[in-house]
Amino acid sequence: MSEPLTVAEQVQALNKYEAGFVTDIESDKAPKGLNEDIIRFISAKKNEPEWLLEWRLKSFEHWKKMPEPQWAKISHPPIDYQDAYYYSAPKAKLNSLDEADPKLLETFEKLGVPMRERARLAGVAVDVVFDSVSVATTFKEDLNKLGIIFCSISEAIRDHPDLIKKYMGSVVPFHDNKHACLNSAVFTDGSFVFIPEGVRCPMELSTYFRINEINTGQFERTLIIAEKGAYVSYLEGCTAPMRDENQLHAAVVELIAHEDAVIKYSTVQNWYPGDENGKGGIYNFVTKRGLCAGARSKISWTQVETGSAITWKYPSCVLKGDDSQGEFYSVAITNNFQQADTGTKMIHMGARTRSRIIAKTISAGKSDSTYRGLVKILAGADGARNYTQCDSLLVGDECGAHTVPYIESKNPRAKLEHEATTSKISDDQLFYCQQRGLSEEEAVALIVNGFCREVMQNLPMEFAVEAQKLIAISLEGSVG
Amino acid sequence: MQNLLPKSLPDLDKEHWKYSNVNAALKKLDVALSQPVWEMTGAFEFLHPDIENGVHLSIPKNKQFMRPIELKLTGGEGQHLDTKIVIDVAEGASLKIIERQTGCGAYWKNIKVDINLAANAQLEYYRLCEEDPFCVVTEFLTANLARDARFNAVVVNGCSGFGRNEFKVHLNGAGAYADLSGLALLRGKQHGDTTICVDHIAPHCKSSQFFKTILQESARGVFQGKIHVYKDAQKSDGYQLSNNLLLSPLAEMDVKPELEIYADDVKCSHGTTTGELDETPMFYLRSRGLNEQDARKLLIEAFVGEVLDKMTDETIRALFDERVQLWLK
Repeated sequence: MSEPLTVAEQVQALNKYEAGFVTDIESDKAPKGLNEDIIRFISAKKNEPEWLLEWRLKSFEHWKKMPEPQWAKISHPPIDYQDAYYYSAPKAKLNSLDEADPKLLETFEKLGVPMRERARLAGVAVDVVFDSVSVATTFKEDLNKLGIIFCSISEAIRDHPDLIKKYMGSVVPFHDNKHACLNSAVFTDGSFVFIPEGVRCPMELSTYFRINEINTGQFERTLIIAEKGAYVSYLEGCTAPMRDENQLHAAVVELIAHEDAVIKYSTVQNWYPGDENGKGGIYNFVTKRGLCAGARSKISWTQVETGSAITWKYPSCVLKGDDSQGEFYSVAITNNFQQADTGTKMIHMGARTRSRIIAKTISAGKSDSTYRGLVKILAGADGARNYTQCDSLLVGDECGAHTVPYIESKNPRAKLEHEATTSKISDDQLFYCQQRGLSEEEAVALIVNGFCREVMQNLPMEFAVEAQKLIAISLEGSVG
Repeated sequence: MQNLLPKSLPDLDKEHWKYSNVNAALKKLDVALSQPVWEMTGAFEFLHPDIENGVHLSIPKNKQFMRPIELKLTGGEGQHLDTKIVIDVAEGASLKIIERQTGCGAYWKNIKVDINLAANAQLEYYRLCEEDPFCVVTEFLTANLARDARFNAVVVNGCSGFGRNEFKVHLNGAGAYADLSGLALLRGKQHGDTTICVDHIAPHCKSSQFFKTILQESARGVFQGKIHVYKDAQKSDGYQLSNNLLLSPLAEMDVKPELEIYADDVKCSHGTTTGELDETPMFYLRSRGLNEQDARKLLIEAFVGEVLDKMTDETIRALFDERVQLWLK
């Protein structure tokens, strides 16, 4: 019982700090800008082998020639790639929670994150990706016994070069799109997971990412490989402190599932969305793709997107193995001036491949959110099946909700279904809840949570609780 | 050929031309600009002579037509026909139009249709395309609807070699209603593209899009439909359904049903299905003693029938029925 009190006191005490407090860590920073030298610097700093440096330089050469993707329904001033830092490693960690941003702590409070967890999230403890260098990874020993490799990608490059050489860039080639190409040139860290044949990973693997340094784009790269019959559930969760300048975040995630393997990838994204006037916030341009390489393999993406000023993200599945399965469950919430253009791609190549897409979009304030998804059936996908459902909910009359599905079929034996609806919270529902004693804001949060239930159910327990509260927080100030 | 391309033809980078490479199709043709000749039945007194190479009909206030007006354009080998139809319907007037497109040989028809409906005006617009499998047809229809105007369109495409039918409907006045439906019957190497954008600009408007495609051999069908609800267009009701029957392993169907919504008190939904004939009804019919061929025919007729049922005029329906039956044989 004593703990909640202390927390409250602590938060109160912390409230006198200025908002937007930035952890002052003496950064081991490369100069601003993007050029060959910076890439060589990053590579040298990380003691990378020659082949990787070449790969980075090749990507960079290609990046210079690539146009920026223009098709998404987002708008932002042109990005000045030369005005950002591409490498920064923390020299020291925070000593205690007192040094953390009070706004951040307040959010933790609302989310009900446990005290120890809080310290970890705020970047005090060790096992966080703190800016660009993965400081440490948890539970390593237990996993080692099972033959599971769970480490930072830099370690993997050093210790398992064969696996990296074989798989990195095999699902998302460096020339895939401009943002992925930039990542290939300057990626600094991320996670690497390898599950050997027949092993069921006993715990949910998770890494919390956190952007800390001003103007540093975070370019992490995640690679997950599940060998024959393996199972893994991976969690990715994000928090970021207050920031006034737009920050670029271009991550790449690659998943490879061999025969009978199952990969479940869950994300809760809660980066700084900018203030009520649309100032600041993070640009989240992420390329996520999974390859169901073997027969009967399965990849499942679940995402709750509440943060970022701009989200540009399409977790996809390439269903290559016969009878393989792809799933995509998404909740995207935008408020104030946020823009989200998110969805998925399901590429059916193998026979009897199945995919299921459930996307829920909630727009409030002056925000715009778009579901954009592709379902593509190639000629070889006999008996393929897809079901897509997109529902949008509008809160207020100044926001926009859009649905842009692309459905391309080349096989007559494939069955494709798509449904979409757009609606608002009905006055009846609101009235009923308010009559039962809930405030308008609570009622909206309750109804929205009900609207997203199908997706929330697919989140691992630890995340589900946090995510529900996150939805309520994201919608704060959107009614009345 | 290149220098003949009018400026109005878009650059293919544009998102809504993603699936249809019109420039490549046109490059294969060797055509020269020719004079389009429209054949017309009835309503000559309402013709306006102001449009060169086209038809301008101006229907006066409260005028009702008993019989449909038929417009027909025939294409011939090596022709490039650039033409325009303008139909202005004044308050309270109502009419039915049948637009028929035929031809023989490799030609290019570029047709623009402008429809302006004043308050309470009604227009039923039926288009029947039976073009040559080697021609290119690009048709762009714009409809502006004032308060309580009604616009019904049924389009049957027994298509051209390369066809693009684009609709742009503006619901400018409260209570306007647009009901669009269509059927594309594609075979061989045909490419049929139907692109629709319905703009709900005023509140209390209703729109419906109902399109079906049947694909055989190595045909490629495209359906892109969009409902755009403007910020002040509260109480909008938008509906969109696209059902596509893929009957050959070489055929391809690309569907892009879009919703772009900026108002919160709206009812908008869309649905789409793509696949071959459903097994369950097929089994039912077979178990009742029909052979596979007959059962198939019956099911395809039923599939097509749903669109043709949208026609209110019996004689027009009979005409369309006959043409569709011919194609299905």
